[in-house]
Amino acid sequence: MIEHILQAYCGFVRYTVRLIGRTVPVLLPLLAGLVAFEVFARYILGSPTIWVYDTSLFLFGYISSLGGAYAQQKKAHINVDIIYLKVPKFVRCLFNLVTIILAVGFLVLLAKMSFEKFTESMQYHYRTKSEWGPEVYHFWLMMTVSAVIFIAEYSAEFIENLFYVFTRRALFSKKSTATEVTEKTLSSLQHEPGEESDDSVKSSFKKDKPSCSDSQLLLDKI
Amino acid sequence: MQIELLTAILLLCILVAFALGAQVGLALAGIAMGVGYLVWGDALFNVIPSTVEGTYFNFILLAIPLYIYMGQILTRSGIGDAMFNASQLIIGRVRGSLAISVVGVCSMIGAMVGIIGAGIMTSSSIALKPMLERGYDKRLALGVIMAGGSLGILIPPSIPMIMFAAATQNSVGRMFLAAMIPALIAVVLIISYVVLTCKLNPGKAPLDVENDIQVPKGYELFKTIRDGLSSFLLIVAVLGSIIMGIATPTESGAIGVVGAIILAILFKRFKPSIMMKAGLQTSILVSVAMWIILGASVFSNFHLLMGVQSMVAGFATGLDVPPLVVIIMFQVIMLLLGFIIDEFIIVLMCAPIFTPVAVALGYDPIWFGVLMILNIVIAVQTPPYGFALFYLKGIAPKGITMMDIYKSVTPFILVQLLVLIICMLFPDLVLWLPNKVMG
Repeated sequence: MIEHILQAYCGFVRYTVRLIGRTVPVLLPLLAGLVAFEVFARYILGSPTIWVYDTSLFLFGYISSLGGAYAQQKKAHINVDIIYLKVPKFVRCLFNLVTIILAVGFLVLLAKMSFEKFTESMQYHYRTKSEWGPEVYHFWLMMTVSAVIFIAEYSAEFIENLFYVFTRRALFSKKSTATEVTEKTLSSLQHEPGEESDDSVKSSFKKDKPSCSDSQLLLDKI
Repeated sequence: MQIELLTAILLLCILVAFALGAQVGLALAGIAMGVGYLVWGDALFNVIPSTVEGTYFNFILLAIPLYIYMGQILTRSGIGDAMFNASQLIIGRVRGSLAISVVGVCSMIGAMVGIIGAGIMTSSSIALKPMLERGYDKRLALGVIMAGGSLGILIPPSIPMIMFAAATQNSVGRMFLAAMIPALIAVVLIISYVVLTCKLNPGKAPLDVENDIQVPKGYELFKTIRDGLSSFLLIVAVLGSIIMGIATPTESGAIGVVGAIILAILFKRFKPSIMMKAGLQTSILVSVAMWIILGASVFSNFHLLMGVQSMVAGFATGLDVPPLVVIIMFQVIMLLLGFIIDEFIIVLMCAPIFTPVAVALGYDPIWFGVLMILNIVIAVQTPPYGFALFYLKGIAPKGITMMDIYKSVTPFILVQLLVLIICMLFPDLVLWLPNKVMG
């Protein structure tokens, strides 16, 4: 029973983080387009804008902050693994428990301070120092959300590691990962026919472009 | 608490956290806040919002996602392979031509991707197999890939250079220009080494004629030249717009993205799936970079608040040695750091502490920044623990041992070390171009 509850929690967290992480990149073409438009507006239209500067910085903040938890889920964040990879899995899980506490400690502070800045910004209408000067409250709200989803992702990892330490077996079997478990339960509600799992996207890539499939797969791994 | 003791405690905590495999950026911030709370109390936490503002409202750092996105689109649409094939058309008849192309093209790819790990992995995936298939000596093949891929961060546009400029309030354009001559010297010296090795040991690099490999003809030939030349011109346009003052480095990144998309569409390589995957991968890489920058900035802001800069400056001047010895000492520290941590962290941790000391000793910060980048290029591939070695091992075919990789990179490391020494002894080599162009 407890195992099912833990599985459901971890699966839900992983699914939510993945959903956010895969939605955020939509902002990238917009960011590039906006900054390029500023050059176009300056030289071709002869009238530089005042809003592109702040908008592009906000977009940059959204892309880089909200994607942090998903990068953690994909194990993309950098760590020094000289010793880490050489110890047995049990010891590795103990290491993970300690390092997760350290990271979450900072993230809790980040969430707290960002939320305070958000309420302050709402109250006193804080603005950026640029000519356009838009309000910044949404940025601080986004930082709070980013820190919270990062904490949620770490909480799922903490549970999985703790489960292994006590039971010496993984919370999710290899055949059903955390994300898959939740996706199966939520698929009837939110299934998009075009959406593929990472692996299926990789394999379709391989079929489409054999000439550079290796580099694509490797870039995905980094 | 005295700054010396505090620094020792912080370093000890970092060593322990890194040994446990902690996520580097968050661990640095967590340690700084934990130790800082014990020293200063909760007033210290106000460092967090000011660091967040300084990190995310930074137009220089906005260049990072744009350059990574451009590189992702170019490499994923197969334009990286096109550059490689085009360079073979030009020098295919020279012995060791593949290895020479690898140095040139992989350093360009590394520059586009902007990050050492991604540069080496992309370069290996494009170039390693063709070299081994054509009978190239495996050590030569591995060595040129490592040398070319890691040189990427010395060739503009480079993410660590952008970070250095942001961390030390220097011009990104000047950094890019300053790195060009050292990068050129490094590429020329490495190519000379390859040519000389192949001349002395022809067995290490058989000619294509000996392997009976045909040069493309007709439309294939035209396509190869067109794709290779266009992607090269795109990089020249991106750098040119910065140097000529048409656009800021951030804006040239955006121009590069638009240019890469236009190239992909024109050459019928554009697919929505490529854009999706490029976007997703860029978003992950940018998140990784920015969370590290945030964590490392929180750490260094706290450490600077505590007075580490005056400690290092006091230590450096108290040594009573010539200024160049202090610079060499900094280089050795960064070289050692490169064994355990990656290029981002070295720049973010060392640049704000070491650069003011170098300036106080009478050196130019841009010169020091270029030395730092050169140093990182060497550090990350130095055996036994340079982390780039593990990227290469990860992609190398079965049967290639870690010892093969160590032996393969050694001559190239020595060549790059020579470039570092040349730049250290002759600062004008670094500063002449930015002074000439930007005054």
